[in-house]
Amino acid sequence: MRRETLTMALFTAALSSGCGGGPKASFDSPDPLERTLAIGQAARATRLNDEQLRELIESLDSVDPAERLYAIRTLERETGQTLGYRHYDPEYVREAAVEQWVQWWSTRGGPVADTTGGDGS
Amino acid sequence: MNRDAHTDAHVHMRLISDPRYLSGARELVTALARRLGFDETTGCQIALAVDEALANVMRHGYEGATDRPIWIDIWPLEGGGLRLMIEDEARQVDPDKIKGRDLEDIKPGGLGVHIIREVMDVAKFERRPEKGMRLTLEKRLPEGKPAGASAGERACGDV
Repeated sequence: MRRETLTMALFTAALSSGCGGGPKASFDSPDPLERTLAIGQAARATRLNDEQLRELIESLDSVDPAERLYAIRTLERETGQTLGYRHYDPEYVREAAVEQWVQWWSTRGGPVADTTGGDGS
Repeated sequence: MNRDAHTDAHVHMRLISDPRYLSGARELVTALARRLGFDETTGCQIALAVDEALANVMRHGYEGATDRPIWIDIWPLEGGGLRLMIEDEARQVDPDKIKGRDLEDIKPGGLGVHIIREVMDVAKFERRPEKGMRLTLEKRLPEGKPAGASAGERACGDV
């Protein structure tokens, strides 16, 4: 699934947004460094908020294998599942698993409370 | 010693350490893996591992120099599977110290070794006798899967 398509799917399903996005750690950055820093920030949260989960699911579709690896590790730690996603699978296999994650995100009852105290990025 | 003249590999390839040739190496490995009986998904995974290995040589071994040699040798494994050997003339490092960064330390790069070890059954780093490093990779076919070409073609996409 292309990033634009995935972004659209997630935003369509989204009930809220709230990503502030810092200059050094941003899921919205075109720079893999800043996106990876954002994953690191999310990984340090005691509990991920809805927006962080959405951003991590988007990162599953990254062209950067490292970004994908960190994203699925963080999602697995938070949810206890991978939904069949493997960061080293080819794109056409990952697509199906990302669809599972999008489905999971959009049907899980709406946004969860932000308990991290962070800005979500 | 002429490195190119001393190999019994079924496939032998020499490329220079220019990232432009990474995609060509990936495509070769993907195609050969498929011909040796791997399904398309596993072929793409093996290609990703090789891509990470080559990128490590270019980035860290040769420190970005784009004119240094890299050799790739490929053999079928007895019983099904393949062995790849990637050699270079880069600075030698202690093989025991080649390990991926702590995965809890989230920052870009440095995950090639993790990815290689996750994908391949064997990933062995060693110093070459003359100079440079050698990485031997092996991937076995799943039990009960006969060796032979798998049908169909599908692009791996961005590995």
